[in-house]
Amino acid sequence: MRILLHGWDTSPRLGVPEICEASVSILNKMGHEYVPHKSKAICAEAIGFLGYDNLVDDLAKKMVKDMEEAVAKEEVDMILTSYAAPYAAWSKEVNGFLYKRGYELPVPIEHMSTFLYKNLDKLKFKELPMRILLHDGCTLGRKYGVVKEPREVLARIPKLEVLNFDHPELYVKERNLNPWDISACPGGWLDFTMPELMPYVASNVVREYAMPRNVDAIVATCGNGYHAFKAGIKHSNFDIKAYSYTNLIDMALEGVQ
Amino acid sequence: MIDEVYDEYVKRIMEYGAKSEKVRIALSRAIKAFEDNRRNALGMFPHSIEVAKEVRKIKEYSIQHMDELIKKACESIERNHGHCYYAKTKEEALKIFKELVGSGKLIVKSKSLASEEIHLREFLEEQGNEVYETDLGEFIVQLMGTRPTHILAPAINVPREDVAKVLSKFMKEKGIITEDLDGQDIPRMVETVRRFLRNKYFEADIGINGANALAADTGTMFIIENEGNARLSIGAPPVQIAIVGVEKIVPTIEDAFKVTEVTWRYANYTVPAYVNLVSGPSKTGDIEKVITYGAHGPKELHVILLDNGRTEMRDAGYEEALYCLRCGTCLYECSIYSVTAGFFGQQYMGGIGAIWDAFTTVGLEKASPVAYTCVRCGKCKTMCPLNIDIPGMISKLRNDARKQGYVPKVVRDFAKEIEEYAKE
Repeated sequence: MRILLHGWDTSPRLGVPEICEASVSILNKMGHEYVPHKSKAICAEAIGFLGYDNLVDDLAKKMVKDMEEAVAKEEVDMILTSYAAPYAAWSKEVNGFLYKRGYELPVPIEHMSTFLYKNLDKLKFKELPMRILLHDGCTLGRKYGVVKEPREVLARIPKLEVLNFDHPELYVKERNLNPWDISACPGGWLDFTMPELMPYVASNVVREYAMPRNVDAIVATCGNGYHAFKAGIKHSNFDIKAYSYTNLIDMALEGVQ
Repeated sequence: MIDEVYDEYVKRIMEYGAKSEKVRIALSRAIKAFEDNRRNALGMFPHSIEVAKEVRKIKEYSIQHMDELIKKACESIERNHGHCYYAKTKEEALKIFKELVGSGKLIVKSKSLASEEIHLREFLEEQGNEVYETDLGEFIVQLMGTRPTHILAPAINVPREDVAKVLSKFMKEKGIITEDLDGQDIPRMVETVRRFLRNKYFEADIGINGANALAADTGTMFIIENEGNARLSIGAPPVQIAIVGVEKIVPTIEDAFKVTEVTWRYANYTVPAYVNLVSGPSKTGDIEKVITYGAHGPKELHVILLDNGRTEMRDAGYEEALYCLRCGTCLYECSIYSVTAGFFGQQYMGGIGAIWDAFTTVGLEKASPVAYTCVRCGKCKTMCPLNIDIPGMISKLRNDARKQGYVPKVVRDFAKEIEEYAKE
């Protein structure tokens, strides 16, 4: 397959280099070709959240046009992202915001977790002796319910122990709440609105939820969440690692069978 | 102007909130206690989860029919020999207070967000009255000269050691204690405040309270509390004045019971120590069934129904914000609030506070930075007993702010970049 990496996964302004590198590494191991899409594009839904509903349609149209051109030029089969918002906005499968609004990309878009899940039987993992706390991206998990896919893939990694955001357990049971309903946001979006606050928020989530559970790392299914956790850990000099879901998978993935 | 407002807000939230280790520690302790208590409360009374769904419907109806419920509640209060007033604005409410209270009075006041909204204590003090907040947290905040940082626990950001310091200074001046209070001895701190305030209730000319719900059919106010200070403030002075936001009015007394039960349960209580129901002034008919007012409790009851932007809030499409029970769940659950306390807000707090601030206190420009502090992660909506769509309203408020030119520079610049890309 030829796969286009979404703008967020390649843009220096928005993306995180290690996620881009891990995405490329995963695709290489799986034997796919990749094409970076170095645009400033974010999902049009996000600009609406920031108070610019007036730009949503223009941006959506522009992105569709850009993607159509890129797909035609590069002959790609799908678009891949490690971020929650673009997937949730454009995905037909989760009835995303922009899809509902009548916009459709020329080829399917996948989140790294949904992409890997669809190829689960082919994936070959090596042992990863770690204990991690899994953080579902707020948009991906709480809003769109993409929760089974990341877990099923992680379950295939030998010696990886995955803990959920399930504190306080009783409260979850009584209200039929799930770990992804109650996971605490590290404030990734503050990067766009109040960047100085983000490390404080993220480090507190690590301190309150990850450190008491003696995990080696906190792993976020959204690139924004990872970016925030990394900043928070650095800010407080915590002896714990943050990984994006994509980076963790890359550490364990050997290739395909 | 918005950039100055934003800078000032960011400076405050960072310096007093995020960078304060004391705030973080105090909140960490309080949030853990809240979660444990709420777990117990909902575990023991799980039906509250279902009742909350009914309460959502009650609030939907009540906000939609707010105008007629205001009229009906006033009729009921007057029928009960109380006096009812409708204040369209903060200024109108303060004018009513000025006429009722005058100056030179001793006033005991229990916790009320509506009164905070209009800066009532400060106003009454300016008029030459001696006013005491009687809720312990509010009392601490009053002594510190700051403002509440949580709607239920006003001094939530103040660690016990600091409480001991501020109480020691004040109580020594008043001759209540001779030595400093121990920073770890919370019962002694509570006892000291009790000793100071005890006589004030009986010496006071006026007691002021808010309400968690007001039943339109009977004119009954429901006031939830644990300390007993509201009960004393309501019951002991000869005159009672209540200030109640119009969004608190529900059609029936049965509705009010449901609203208050869900409120206290999600506010982490199995059952509060007191639920006060007040429908009119004190009365007796014990002598030949002749009803006489002012038996043991207040001779007069005045109820001021405060609008102050609530109708505009509803009509502008933010009606869900008016469903808020003030249980505090959204604050305890918010990652931002956990490190910034009430500094995430202007007068009201948290994401929902941005909407309240825009319509009832500081206006849209000053509420805008608060709206941009919210990350719209949606946990508040999930955890809210009424499932209030705070993230949805935050997006709407940001759009309203943008239309008025109230977007902070950091966001404006980013949007400009995106707009240029869209035009390419």
